[in-house]
Amino acid sequence: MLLVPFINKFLNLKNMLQEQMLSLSEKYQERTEKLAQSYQTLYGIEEIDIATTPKDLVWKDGKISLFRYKRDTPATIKTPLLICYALVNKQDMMDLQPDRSVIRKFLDLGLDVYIIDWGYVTRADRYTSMDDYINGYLGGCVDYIRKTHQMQKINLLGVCQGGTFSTIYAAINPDKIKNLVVMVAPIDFSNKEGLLFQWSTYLDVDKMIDNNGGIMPGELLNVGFDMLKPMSKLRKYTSVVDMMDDEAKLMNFLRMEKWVANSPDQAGECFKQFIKDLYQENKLIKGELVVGKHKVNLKNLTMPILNIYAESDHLVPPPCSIPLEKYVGSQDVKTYKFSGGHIGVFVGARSQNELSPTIVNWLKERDK
Amino acid sequence: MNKPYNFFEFWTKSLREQTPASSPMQAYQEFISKMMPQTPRQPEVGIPEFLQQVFQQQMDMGKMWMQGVQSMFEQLAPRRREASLFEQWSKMYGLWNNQYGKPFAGQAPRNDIAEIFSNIMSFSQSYMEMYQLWQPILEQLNIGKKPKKDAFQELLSNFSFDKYNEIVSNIFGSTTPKQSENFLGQIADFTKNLLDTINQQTGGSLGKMMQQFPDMLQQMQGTQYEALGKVQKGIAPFLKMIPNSKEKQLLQLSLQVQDDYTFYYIKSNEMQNLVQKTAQKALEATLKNILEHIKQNPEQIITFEDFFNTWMDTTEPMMIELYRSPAFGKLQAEALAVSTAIKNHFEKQLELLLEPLPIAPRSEIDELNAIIHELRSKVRNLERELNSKIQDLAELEKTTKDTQSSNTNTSPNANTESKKRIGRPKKA
Repeated sequence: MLLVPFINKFLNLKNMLQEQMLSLSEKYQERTEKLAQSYQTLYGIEEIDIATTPKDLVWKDGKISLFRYKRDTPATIKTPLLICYALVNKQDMMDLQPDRSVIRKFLDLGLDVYIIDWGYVTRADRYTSMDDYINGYLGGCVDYIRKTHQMQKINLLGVCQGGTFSTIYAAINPDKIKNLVVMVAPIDFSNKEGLLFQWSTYLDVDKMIDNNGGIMPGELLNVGFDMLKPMSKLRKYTSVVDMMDDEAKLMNFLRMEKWVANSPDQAGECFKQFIKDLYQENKLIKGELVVGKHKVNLKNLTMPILNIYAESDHLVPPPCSIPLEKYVGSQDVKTYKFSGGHIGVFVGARSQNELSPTIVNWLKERDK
Repeated sequence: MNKPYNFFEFWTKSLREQTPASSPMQAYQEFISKMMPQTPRQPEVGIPEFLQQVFQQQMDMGKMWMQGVQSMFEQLAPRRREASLFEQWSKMYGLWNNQYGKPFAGQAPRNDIAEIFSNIMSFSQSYMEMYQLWQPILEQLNIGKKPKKDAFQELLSNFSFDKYNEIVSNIFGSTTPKQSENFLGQIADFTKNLLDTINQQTGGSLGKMMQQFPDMLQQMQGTQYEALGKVQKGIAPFLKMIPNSKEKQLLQLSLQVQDDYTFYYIKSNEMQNLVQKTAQKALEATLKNILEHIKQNPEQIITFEDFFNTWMDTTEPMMIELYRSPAFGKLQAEALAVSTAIKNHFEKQLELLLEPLPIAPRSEIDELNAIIHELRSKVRNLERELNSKIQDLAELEKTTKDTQSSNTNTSPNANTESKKRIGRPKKA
């Protein structure tokens, strides 16, 4: 009788072990099947198409290209729009796929759209500075469009770092910009909420760039961005196996992956100035930033400004974007809160249904 | 049809052949059970030992599973690079590149399908390893009773933190001691070759010293983690005896790499330590959350997905907090700076190695790039000035034309007026 508890315990353990083994082998089988299906599905995909809206190359300077999107009908808004994307990642995000494309929406709503492609930096571009990018290339694009359209001023839309560049350009050349739209752009760098802001405090940017052959590797930047959401990769790669039978979802995932991975290196000279003058010393809002021969005064921004920030932006937290209105000279400033994150601004349903029409309507009202 | 997919077909087929009467699921379980090592049962073992035993068995099983599935991935992997003239140097550089950036993140972003699949595989491995680690605990928790008061401590004390740290390192990235060992081994080989060459160059006059040199280097490497920056200092007197040559420069750079690498390794490990500590806290918090949940809902079954999601949700903010901390930020900046310095030393070595070949070194190309950049800026400014002058000229011409035409236009009027005037009746 004394043995009964021991026998029971042994039987319980045995049952438990068996159940665990069963459960584990089920899990292995489930996972293996999913991986096999993932492999089979992925193997069948020949190309991940991205940024498919038709466009023409209209201007080129070195590696920088200016494209004009094709329109089937004449634009209903007479002032053309130039989009200046960030140097980080590619402008393809604006046209990720036909049903998630800011560009297509803009075209549908009557805009004549140009976009800058910054190309891919190599060591040969290590000395390309902020002055080259802003006054040289961005300025060249603006002048080309002004000349083509025989217009004194055009509309400029800057995205993220491209928004900072556009703000600086417009402050130097207020006579060339009719309306300025900035999306999720860092302007006030005093805020240390974002990790990027925190890191830049300790970064010896000169040493890092010089030792990296004068460039900032895009891969290293991506590593930094990944650290902003440390579990996101684990989440997405463990859950993607569950969407292998949904082609639309899978293609969405793959297009985003393709975009994320397409991370060009950064020209060292420009990167140095961006980190030191903006992230570390916050010179833009202090009125101390010098780009080329020009001291940048935000009070020169007298044109209408639409400043869009994303409420849940982890890359450019709202406190970095919102203050723009405090420093500009314009009397017509609208600060627009987008309910979503940094990427949602371009690809979410709200972006298609709310944000893009808001931008176009805002431009339309000022297209006189 | 491709080979990797055939692997699964083959597997399933052989399963069916082995056990024709059973269902695929039963066949799979049998297959798995055959793979399991036959451990003698110990009926008298207590719960902690039992859990350890289950952990071990599951780990073994997991390894086998991964090996099987891994073969599928290997078919996708690019072929190994052909050996080059600088094979040894490349090997060393390659080993460094494997570690470069590792303490900052897990898998690098990928841009083609095979590499996306590679990421899926890698994270699936972490997922399954977490499953192996947690499943016995979940089984304990899911027996439909309220957990004991000391359940938290008991479960935690039986938890394999070593394995957990391995998983964490795979997810968040790390430099492993093995990687470090391989890398240092390669540097040592490279250094030995350099010393042999130097010895030959000096007609064997440094022979005795040279014979002792690798041993000394090895000893220093052995204690390098304590002797930060000591490799160069220790060897400096001997270096003075070596005449100046390309090999000597290569040797000096190699020693510099070793010193810097030591610093890098220390910083990486400090970062890794912080990550692991945070991950352990996250695990404890997850376990507490789950125990609390079970207390409130003793009948509810906690699935692995419940646990995994809770764990990710708990870990993420804690990791962000860590990454945001000045301590981590400083470490990361230091590691990043020294890692780029190592890259720089390697590039200098490469230039020296390529010296005999008719190839322009990067440093010279960089000088050219600087000149090209300056010239391009000058051309752009000149073009801008020229355009502005052309525009001014065009405006001037337009103004002149306008003035002329207005003059031409005004003349007839003037004439008319004068004519009119002329035609005016004279004052009486």
